[in-house]
Amino acid sequence: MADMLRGKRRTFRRWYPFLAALLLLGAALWGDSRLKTSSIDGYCPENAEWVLAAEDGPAFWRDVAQSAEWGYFRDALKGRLANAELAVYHLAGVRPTLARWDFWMGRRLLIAGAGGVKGFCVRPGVLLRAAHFVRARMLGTESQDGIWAYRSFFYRWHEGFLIVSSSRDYVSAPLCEPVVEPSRSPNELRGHWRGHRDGFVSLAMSPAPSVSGWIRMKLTQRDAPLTLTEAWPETPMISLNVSRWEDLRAFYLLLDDALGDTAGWQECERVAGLFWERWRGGDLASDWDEDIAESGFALLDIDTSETLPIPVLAAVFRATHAAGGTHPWEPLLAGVDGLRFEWEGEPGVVAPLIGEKAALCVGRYGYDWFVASQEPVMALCVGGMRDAAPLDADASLRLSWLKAASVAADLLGEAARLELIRGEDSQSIDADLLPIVEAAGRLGALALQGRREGERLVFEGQLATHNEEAP
Amino acid sequence: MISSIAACCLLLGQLGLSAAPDYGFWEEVFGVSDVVAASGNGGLTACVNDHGRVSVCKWPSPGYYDQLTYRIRSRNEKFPGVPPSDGLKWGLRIGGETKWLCGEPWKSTQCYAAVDSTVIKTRLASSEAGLTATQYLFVCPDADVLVVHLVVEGLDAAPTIFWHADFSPCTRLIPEVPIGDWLLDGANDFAVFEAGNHGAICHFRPEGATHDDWARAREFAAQEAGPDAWRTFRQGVWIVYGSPDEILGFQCGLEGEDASAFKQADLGRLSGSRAAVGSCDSAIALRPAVKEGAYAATVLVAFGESYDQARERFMQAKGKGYERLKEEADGYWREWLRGTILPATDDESLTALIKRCLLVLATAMDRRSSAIVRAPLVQPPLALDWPRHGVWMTTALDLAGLHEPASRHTGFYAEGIRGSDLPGARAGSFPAAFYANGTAAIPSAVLDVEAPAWVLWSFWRHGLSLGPAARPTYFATIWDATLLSTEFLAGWSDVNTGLPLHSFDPSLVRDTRSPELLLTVSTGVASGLHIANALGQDRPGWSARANEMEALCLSTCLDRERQWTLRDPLSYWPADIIPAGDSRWDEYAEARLKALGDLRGYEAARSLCDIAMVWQNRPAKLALVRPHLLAAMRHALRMEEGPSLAFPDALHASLAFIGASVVSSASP
Repeated sequence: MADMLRGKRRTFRRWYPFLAALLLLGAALWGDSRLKTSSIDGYCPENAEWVLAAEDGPAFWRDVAQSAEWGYFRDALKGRLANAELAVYHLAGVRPTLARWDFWMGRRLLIAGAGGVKGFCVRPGVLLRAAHFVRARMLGTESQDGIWAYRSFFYRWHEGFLIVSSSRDYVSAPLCEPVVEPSRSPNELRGHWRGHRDGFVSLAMSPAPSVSGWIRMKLTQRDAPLTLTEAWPETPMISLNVSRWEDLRAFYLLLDDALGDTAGWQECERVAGLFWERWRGGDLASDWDEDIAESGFALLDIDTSETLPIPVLAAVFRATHAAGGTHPWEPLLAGVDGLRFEWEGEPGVVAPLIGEKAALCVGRYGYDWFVASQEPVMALCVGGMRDAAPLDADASLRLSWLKAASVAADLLGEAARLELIRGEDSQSIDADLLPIVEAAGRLGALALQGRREGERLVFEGQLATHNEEAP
Repeated sequence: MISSIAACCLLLGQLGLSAAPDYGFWEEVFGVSDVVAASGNGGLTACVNDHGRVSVCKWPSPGYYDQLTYRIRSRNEKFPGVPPSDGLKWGLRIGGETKWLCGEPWKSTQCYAAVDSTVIKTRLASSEAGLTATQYLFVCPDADVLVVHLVVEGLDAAPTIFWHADFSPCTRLIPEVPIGDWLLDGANDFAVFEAGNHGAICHFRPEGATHDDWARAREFAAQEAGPDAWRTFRQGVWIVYGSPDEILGFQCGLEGEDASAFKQADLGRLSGSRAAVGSCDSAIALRPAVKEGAYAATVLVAFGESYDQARERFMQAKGKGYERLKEEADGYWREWLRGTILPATDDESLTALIKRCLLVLATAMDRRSSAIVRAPLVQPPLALDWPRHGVWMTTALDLAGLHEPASRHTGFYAEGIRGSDLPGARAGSFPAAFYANGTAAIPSAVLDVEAPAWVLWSFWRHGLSLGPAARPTYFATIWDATLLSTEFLAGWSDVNTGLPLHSFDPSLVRDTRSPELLLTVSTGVASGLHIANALGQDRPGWSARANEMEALCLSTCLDRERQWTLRDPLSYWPADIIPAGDSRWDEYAEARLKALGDLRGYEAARSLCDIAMVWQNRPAKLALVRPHLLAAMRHALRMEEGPSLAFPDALHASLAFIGASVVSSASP
């Protein structure tokens, strides 16, 4: 009996190391999990202009990779992704995969931009901390003011988080915990940008690519649904539907805020202003849109048949009563020798600005006042607007990926033919860029709608509706 | 996307250049022209600014492919808003500092080396006592070589002289969008390399540069390959430059980087990098030759379609040397002027200005296609042949007895006519402007109805200048174009009123209808009818339309007393509604004559021409113009009092020449 017991003890002792290792592993995994866990998104410089945060970065990327939409792009981006992977491999010595990222860096991910430089923040587990310990304590690598350098990167530890950037300024800046709205699901990517027109956007890929958020802007609050969103006789490339002219101006100012610092945009505005001063005959009456209940603006297409792309534009102003009398935009035509026209028996004017493709056409039908940049567009729209389902929103935006991709493909082809893209030619564009554009064309349409809530426009919508047709 | 929108807006601006009284609005849109004069040979054309810096360098035509990085952003900044690294210029290394000869503190005076010379002399005086630098610049008339010679005086010791070049070789035209060679410099440049034995630098871009070409160029640059490797690239634009003087150093660099040739020259040391790919610049350091107590250096810039061609031209020019090249150039233009008919006048100053008008015109003529560009500028982009302007250049050539180039110029239009209808671009119409190779340079959406009308008038007028024997043959050669254009003009009418439909009006930058358009279209239809009659072609439809339009002109443009109802009808004398010499012109001609002293540029040239033409048969009236002629011509050519440079606008020069010819030829 005693021998039996001794034998059992011996056998049990033989398992000690294994059990100890198991315990140690369990403790390490537990510790790893504890170390990777945090209730906050991370840290970024106090002066960060924008922040992207994911509670579970790898899970978000997994959703992206598994989505049908990503499937369209997978082949087109194969080469670029491989190059990116190779670059990371050369930098870090490990090929990046979701599991490896999770293992080394943890799930929390925060990316931010401050003063023109970018960086990221993660909450790594045991392994990376151990690697840092070995590097710092055992190999004697020294930091400067708590900032470490590794190859071309700088990093710093702060409250258990690792802040990394290729810019020392980014890493050494005073840090803060950014205010990013809480996530509704760990698999979503949230973005926040600051400034006088701050905003927030949340992107989720499952079950379908959807977006929601808010932006600081004032729009007219409607008490009736929008009726023009889906009413265009043919699908526009881009359409924007709001209540009043000033709402359109609000969107223009939004664009201006986003691009206002760029030289190209400033030059564009300056030159457009010079021409507008030449073109306009008079001014619109200050209350010209007093009776307008809803306004729709559409970029129907871009004519790429000539070297200079020409936008095809239309606008509809739906009035509260039947449109009659003089078109509210006619004062703009003062002094312009326009041609009197009729569409669907209603009077209108075509004032050619530059040939047949750039004219100012005004007309009316039913409750609608129309403006178009080409006479055939006017003929299409007057009497051609559909009765579409009303949309309960203060603003709506639609983008046809198919049309946009088709135009982009034409422009890229032309740009390549004319050697406008340094280092590229038609063959390389066909091989590298056109597949991406074609993949974008299969996304179908983007549909966003928003409601005013105080000083904010709160929006939501779909980034893509499936479309198997390639442009 | 944004730059595309900006480009679109800029293009819209381009549309109106054709009839702008001057460049004011267009300079607001495109930037201010930083050019005071040009030297060229109908192929290579170089323009300088008021400090002698080369700000435009076009090859192989005055009409396209600006080969420089040179972008004017604002007049309010130092160096007219242009970074000092742009363009071609000299730098003097004096007292541990490189002084660039392209702006303050140098004070500049400029003139031509002689009355009938195209050598542009720029004398720069420094605030340091006695220090002057004088640049002589010209293009060889018989080879595509730019010669730049510098003489420095007032120094005790020889300075190191830098010559910095920011070429951006360009090989492609963008149809209908004439901004590619200056606004899109970022997409133009390709590579620069040291062309062996520290003797020359070569900038180049192969035609249709492909992805593989870029990869190969980067490989060659990394390997510091020699000319034998680089010359294997296809034909394109190859620019080889160097100096007959001792070269102390060189640098092939990338713009804006620490290794840029400009930055290195600015610091006084060129590190000798042998090649660069991308947005390149280059510089050489020269030991000047001592010449009569002064220090002189020369740079020769040769252009060719291949490395071998450019290199050969460079070597030939180097073999001749500066003095001989200058003699040859001056001799060529003296001889060319001898072959022209100049108005009889014993006023030397007037003769000099008349000659200058013809030299400006010659500089604007493309030697291959016979197109004549308005001015070899890029900002605003005027280096295009605008039919509505070109007709005055044809007229000036005829008056100068240069009938052959005038015939070829009308032939250029006859070939450029649209043969079939496209949306917005009707058969019988012309592009509002052409590149010098005949490609449309303005979007076809712009329908300039006046262009075919003026071209038809020009066909008729040129035919008359040829004399009865040559006339039928000439009319036969342009008959197809006449047919198309007259049919288009006769049919371009409002069915309700009979008036012409809309046409692009450059002064308003949009389409419009006006009595002036009626007069011009009427002139065109009448000219087409004259040509048809001269060829014995029966065109009853044209005849009926011409009669209808004449009646419309009389009812629209004249009142019951047959006086003009238009505010300023002087420029519409070709319509012949009121014949030249008629006293009804006097009121308008006298008013313009009174204002002549205050007019500049286009307005001065236009007024001089119009006054001369409406009084062409009235010597007593022309005698009233004669005292104002010299000043008016100077103003037309933007020349200040005393010797200075003529602004290279061929329209101004042509109109001034026409006016001077008519006024000077009349018996006093």
